Amino acid sequence: MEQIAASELTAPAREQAVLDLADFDEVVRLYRPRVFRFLLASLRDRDVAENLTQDCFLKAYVGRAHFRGDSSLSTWLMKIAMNLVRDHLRSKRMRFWTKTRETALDPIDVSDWVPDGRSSPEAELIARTQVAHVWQAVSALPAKQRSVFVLRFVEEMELKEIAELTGMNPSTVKTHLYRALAAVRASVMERSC
Amino acid sequence: MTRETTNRGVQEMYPESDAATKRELEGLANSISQFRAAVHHIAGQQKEPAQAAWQMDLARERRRNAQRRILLEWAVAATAAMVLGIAALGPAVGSYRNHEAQLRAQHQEQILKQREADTALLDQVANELSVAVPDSMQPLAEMDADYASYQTTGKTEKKNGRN
Repeated sequence: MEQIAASELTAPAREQAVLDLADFDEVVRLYRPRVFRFLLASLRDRDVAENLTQDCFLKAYVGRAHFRGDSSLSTWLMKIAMNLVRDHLRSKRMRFWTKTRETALDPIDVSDWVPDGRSSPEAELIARTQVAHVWQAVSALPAKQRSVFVLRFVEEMELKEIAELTGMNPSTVKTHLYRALAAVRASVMERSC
Repeated sequence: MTRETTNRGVQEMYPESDAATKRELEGLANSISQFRAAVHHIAGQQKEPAQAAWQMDLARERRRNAQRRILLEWAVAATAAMVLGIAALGPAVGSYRNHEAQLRAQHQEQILKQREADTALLDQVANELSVAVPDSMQPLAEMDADYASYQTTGKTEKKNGRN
C-alpha cells in the first residue's frame, strides 16, 4: 500500500484506499514510520517530529471524509505532514523569542547512530563524520529544497511522486533537487577539507 | 534506496561528468546513503506507537493547549502594546495639557489687562466729568465771572455817587 503513485491507483484500489481509513489503527501502524522519518529529517527534533506525527494523523482522521482516493493514502498523509512542517517553521519564525528546544538532535549524536557495523574504527569514524556533515548541510537548506531532498533520498520517492505531493511541476522538483544536491555537495566538500 | 540506487540518483543530476567528478559523486552518494541509514535507524529507535485513539487524544489536548497559548500570547502582546501606547502618548498628553493651561493663563492675563484698561478709561471719564466747568466751556465761565465782577463794581459806584 506504501508508495503508490496516484496515477497507478485503479478504481478498486481507490475504493480500497478509502476503505483503509476505516481501520485507522492500521493506517497509523503502516504509515507512522514514514511520516515520522520525514518530519524528523526535516525538523531535526525528535519531540517536535513526534508531536507533528500525532497532529498529522489527527488531521487525517478529522478530514478522512474529504479523502476521495485521488492520490494514494501515503501521498495524502505526506502532504499533510509537509503542511505541518511549513506551519511549524512559520510559527517558529513568528515566535523568535522561544529558545531552541533542548531535544534538538546534535549532529554528533546523530552520527553515533550509524547502523551498519564497520570493519574498522577508522571506517566507522569516517562514516559518522560523513553523516554529521550531510545532516548539517541538509538542515541548512531552504525549506522546499530540504523537503524535496528528504523525500528523494530518505523516503526514496520518485520525482513524479514528489511533484504530486508538493504540488510542483516535475521540472521544478528537479531544479530544487539539483540545487539541494549542489548545496549539500559544496557543504560536504568544504567540511571534509 | 541502496547505495547503488542513491549513487544512480546522484549521478542522474550530473549526467556529463568526468572520472574525477564521478568518483567525488560516488563519495557524496555514499554519504547520503549513510545519512539515510542514520535517519531510518533513529526513527526506528522511537518507541512503538500507542493506540491511534490515545495518540489522537494527546494531539487534541496539545492542540487545545496551543490554542490557549496563542490566545494568551495575543493577550499579553495586546496588553504590552497598550502599555507602550500609553507610555508613548503620556508625554504628548502632558504637553497638550500644559499648552492648554498656558493658553488659559494667557487668556486670563488678557482679561485682566482689558479690565485694567477699562478701569483706567472709566477713571479718566469720571475725572473729566467731575470737573465743574469743562475745558470747552471755560471761556463762557470767564465771561460770566467778568460780568459778575462788573455788576458788583457798578453798584458800588452808584452807591458812592448817591452818598
